[in-house]
Amino acid sequence: MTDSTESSQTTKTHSLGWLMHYALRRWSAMVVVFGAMILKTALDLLKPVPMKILLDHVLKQQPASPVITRLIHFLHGDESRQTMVVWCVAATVVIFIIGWGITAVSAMANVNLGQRLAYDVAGDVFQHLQKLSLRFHARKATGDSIRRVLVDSAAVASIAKDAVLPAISSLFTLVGIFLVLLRLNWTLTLVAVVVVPYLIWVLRRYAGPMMQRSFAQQEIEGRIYTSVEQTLSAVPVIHAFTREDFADELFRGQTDQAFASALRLTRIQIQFKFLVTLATAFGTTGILWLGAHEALQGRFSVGTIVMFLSYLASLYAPLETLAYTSSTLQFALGSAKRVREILDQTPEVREIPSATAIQTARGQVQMQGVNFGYDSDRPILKEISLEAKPGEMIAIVGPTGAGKSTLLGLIPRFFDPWSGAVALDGKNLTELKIADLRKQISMVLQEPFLFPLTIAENIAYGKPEATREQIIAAATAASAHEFVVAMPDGYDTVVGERGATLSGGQRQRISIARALLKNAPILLMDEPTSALDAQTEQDLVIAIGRLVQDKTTFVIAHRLSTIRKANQIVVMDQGQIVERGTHDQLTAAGGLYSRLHQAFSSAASEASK
Amino acid sequence: MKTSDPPAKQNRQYRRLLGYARPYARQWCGMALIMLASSAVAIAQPWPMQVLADHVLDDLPMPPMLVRLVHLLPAATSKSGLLAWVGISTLLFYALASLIDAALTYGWILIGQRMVYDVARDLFSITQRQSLRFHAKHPVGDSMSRIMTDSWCVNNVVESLLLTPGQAIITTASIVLLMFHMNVELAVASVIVAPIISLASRHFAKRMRKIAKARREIESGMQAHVQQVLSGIHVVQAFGQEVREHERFAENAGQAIRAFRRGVLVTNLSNLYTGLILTMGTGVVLYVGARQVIAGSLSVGTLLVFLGYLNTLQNQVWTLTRTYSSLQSRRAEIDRVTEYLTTPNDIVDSPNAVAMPKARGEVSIEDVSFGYEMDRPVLSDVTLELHAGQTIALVGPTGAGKSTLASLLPRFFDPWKGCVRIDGRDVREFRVRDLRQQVSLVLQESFLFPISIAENIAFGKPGAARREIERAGELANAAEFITQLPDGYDTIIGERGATLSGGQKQRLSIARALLKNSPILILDEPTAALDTITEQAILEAMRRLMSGRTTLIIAHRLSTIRDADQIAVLEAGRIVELGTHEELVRRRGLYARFSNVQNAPAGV
Repeated sequence: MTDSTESSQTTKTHSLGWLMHYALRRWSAMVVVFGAMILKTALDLLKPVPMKILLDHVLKQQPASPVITRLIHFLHGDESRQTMVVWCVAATVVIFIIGWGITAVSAMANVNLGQRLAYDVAGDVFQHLQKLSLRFHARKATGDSIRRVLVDSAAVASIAKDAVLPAISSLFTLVGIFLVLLRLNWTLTLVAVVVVPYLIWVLRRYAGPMMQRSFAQQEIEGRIYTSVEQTLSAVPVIHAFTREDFADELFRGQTDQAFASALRLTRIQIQFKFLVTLATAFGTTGILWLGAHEALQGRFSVGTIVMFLSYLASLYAPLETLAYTSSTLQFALGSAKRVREILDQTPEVREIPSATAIQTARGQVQMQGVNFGYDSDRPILKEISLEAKPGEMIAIVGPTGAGKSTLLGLIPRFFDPWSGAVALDGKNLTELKIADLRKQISMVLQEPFLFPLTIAENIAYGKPEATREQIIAAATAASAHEFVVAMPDGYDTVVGERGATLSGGQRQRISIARALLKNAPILLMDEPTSALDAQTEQDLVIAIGRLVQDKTTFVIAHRLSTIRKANQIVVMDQGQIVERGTHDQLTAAGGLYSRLHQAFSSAASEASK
Repeated sequence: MKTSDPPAKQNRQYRRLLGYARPYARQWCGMALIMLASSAVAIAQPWPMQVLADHVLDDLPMPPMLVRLVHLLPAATSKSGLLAWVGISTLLFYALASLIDAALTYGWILIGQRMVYDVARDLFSITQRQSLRFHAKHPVGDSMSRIMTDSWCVNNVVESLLLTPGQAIITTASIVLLMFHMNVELAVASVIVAPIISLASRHFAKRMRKIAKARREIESGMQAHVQQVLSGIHVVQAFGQEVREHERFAENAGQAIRAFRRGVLVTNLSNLYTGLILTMGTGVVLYVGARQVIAGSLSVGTLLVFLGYLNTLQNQVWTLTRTYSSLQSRRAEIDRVTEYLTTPNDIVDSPNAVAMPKARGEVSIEDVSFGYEMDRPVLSDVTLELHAGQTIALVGPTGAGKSTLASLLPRFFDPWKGCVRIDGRDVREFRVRDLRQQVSLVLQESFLFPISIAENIAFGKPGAARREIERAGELANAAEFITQLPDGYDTIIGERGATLSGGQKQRLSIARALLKNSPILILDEPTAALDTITEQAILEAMRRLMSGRTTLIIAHRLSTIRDADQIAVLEAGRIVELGTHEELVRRRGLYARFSNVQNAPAGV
């Protein structure tokens, strides 16, 4: 059950090219983000300039460059030191505000890009999951699928948001600062750049081990996850065997391991960070020393050194960012794999390009030599052949696990048979448009699955455009109208909210109304009343009677009252049809059905006494 | 629903989580020392620049302390020598700062991670001890995310309430003192903006909290929607509503994006506000400082030192704001974690509970009603008598309450009304542990643990001798396949190809029950998941297990129940028929119909 499900993985899970396709879909946000990045870099370069002017030309009264003199003339015309101080201060504040504006715009664009990307991926995974056959869903835990839609997709999007974008932005800053430094003083810049090969060496030396350790950490966390899930699902066993302490110990042992591995990871990260900072320290010191030497010879001012140092900080910061990108990436890769696993599943139930459309089927259903199972080595249905003429009712009886529900699932193509064919009005189901086929079929199941929508929306689930009158008519025919109007908000009551918990019988009536409104020529009923007590069942019989009128009906039932009227009765055991015929034929044959019938009629007469 | 007295509740929650920091007093002392060192370095760091500006590039007179220092250092009296020392000290301070930073990070991970796992352990321990009623209300996924993911919030709480303020206070206090010592006017200009910032951050924190809450609600709505659709996938497909459900998802996603954007906007506004005030502050210092320099009462170097300090102070403010707002965004996790930590267990020993002797196995269920939710009874007025050594079978449609009824025996939950007696005494009079020693369980799913097969068999009797374990294995018809496994009884389940088939697992769980050897046995559809051939092989082992024990068996297959001493038919929480197989068949009620349907194919 665990490993057979993963068989259809592809090998391209490690490349991330497919993510580009998502990123490109949000190209306008990308443009904004990149634009903001370039502006931000420019602004970073401007930032230390007022300080330099203040230090050199105002405080030290060195002659200002012609550009600055012209700027000052243009702005105010007054070259007094007092005014210059004010202008420098004002420039600092203005640069900050512009910087904030850019940050805000790019943050918004980032939401559009990153968060949208996450939901784009999530939406696709969700959509794809809905397309996959019930055979797939039968083998996958719902919780796991939910995780893939919501958690893993977000993690995948973080590759773009937290790894690729910062890396690109760092590169921009790097190049920009480098160019400016080069213009400022190329010898000093060379000194600053000397540390780059060292940084690359550090990065190459540490990237591998850091990745390994972070992977190991994730592995352990994953193992804890699994074992916590196991334990919590096994709570009855643990309680019954009074081994709560054992479970605690198991968990403790695993968290100790996880802790040790987290420390191992931190140790190497810290080493790495320290080595990177060391490079910054050497670079800065070198600049300071050389710059001061230049200044001593009068070629360099204090302001220039301060400016240079500030650029240097901007030069090294992106290098560190780049170095950390790898660990973010590593983490997201695991999620990317899980997302791809879903997206790469080819839906088993596919529509052929030449599929024909159908309006309203007559309702003749035929199965011929059908074999099917959820796992490839465990057949559930073996060589099933049967035919239902339009308007006929076929009852299916047999023990639990005989394959009755699976048989019904073939008709709306929840899954396709391994071999054999299912046909509607003489056409193989695989030749029909899936949506059209399913429009021909209504279902009433033992567990009436309702959505947390309003009652009206639930009734109109298969026909969203239905008018309120049609909805009420369906509810009335399903004997549901009375209790619905008694609810706090009537038809607008949301199922499952504030006291709007419905009883099993009420839920079933809504699901009958849902089927009535859909008004499809084929009806599938899977033990519609078996979870209800006898009284509730009686109430439902009339509603069901209205529903089955003129429809080709397949009904699975334990109770003979429901199946007695059937045109054909099919008895199943272990995936095979072991007996079949009409009520009269089977009674006359004196076999199984006659025994069933006798048991039932005497029970009924006893009950009426 | 949780609006009652939020500040008090919040404080209680914080105190509770801060309690997890207490066991690490020694480590915290170490951290405090490192923080002191870090402030010292932060104070020293801008000074080389001052020496450079004032004494290397300019010729201002040195203060006596610096003169003494210069004489102490070799070759520092010449300008180029002093310059070299400036370089060396810059490098030294850098290296020191990053070493200290590394130490702080490591120390914090050491404590922080430990605390997270401490919380996770407590959560796990509390959760797995909760009654089945609790687990019926909280799906495994929910509990798991609280244990594994939400427990991280302790990190945020301690960081933003203990660590960051601690560090901020130490650094800020020492720098501010020094600033006042150096130049009162500039110092006042530097700290003047502090009160405005604290006011602003309060205002924004409130708004951010609101937005974060709205966003969480949208997100949990999305999760609920995905869950609904995936668990009702058959209905979605049957009604052809895949496109509409996808549209609904996209709509929710759009809403989430809008909420996200609002959040980003507020965060940015708050950053603007704080940043603007800080920049204004810098402007004021720059202005005042520059005027002083022009007036000759301040050196350029000292102004640079001041600006350096200002930068450090501002970073502290940013850090404080950031951690505080991250704490706000963890509110939901904090709620979820403390909710679990404070949920009392509804099945505990009563104050005068007594030890339970080995039971004879007389069980009587008297007039019991029970439900998982108020107003929705699953069992109504059930009365049932099991004599010692007898087997009673429970049959009935899905949802009739069979498993719930069986769960009352080991007190997985207590009935609303009525009581369950073993050997004539109410089970609530016994110690829970003792009571459960008397009951064994074999369920449809076997629930084995990732430990060795021997340990799994000895799950209910940890000290069992190897001989006993092997004997149980043989009686459960499991010895044959166990000895064929790579490590025999020492094979760890789930590792290296040791994946077992459903039938093999079920035999192990029978062996487990055999070794526990308790007088009362519950079998809940033990063979329902197996095919008929596997079932036959297991029935023999099951009969060995049942012999001499009071057994309650839930089954759908007639083959497993027809030999029971009594059969109880349950329908919608009530016992509707009770008797032996023959009696019930003769009565021609629900059971008769049920058994005929099942029996029939065998006769064809």
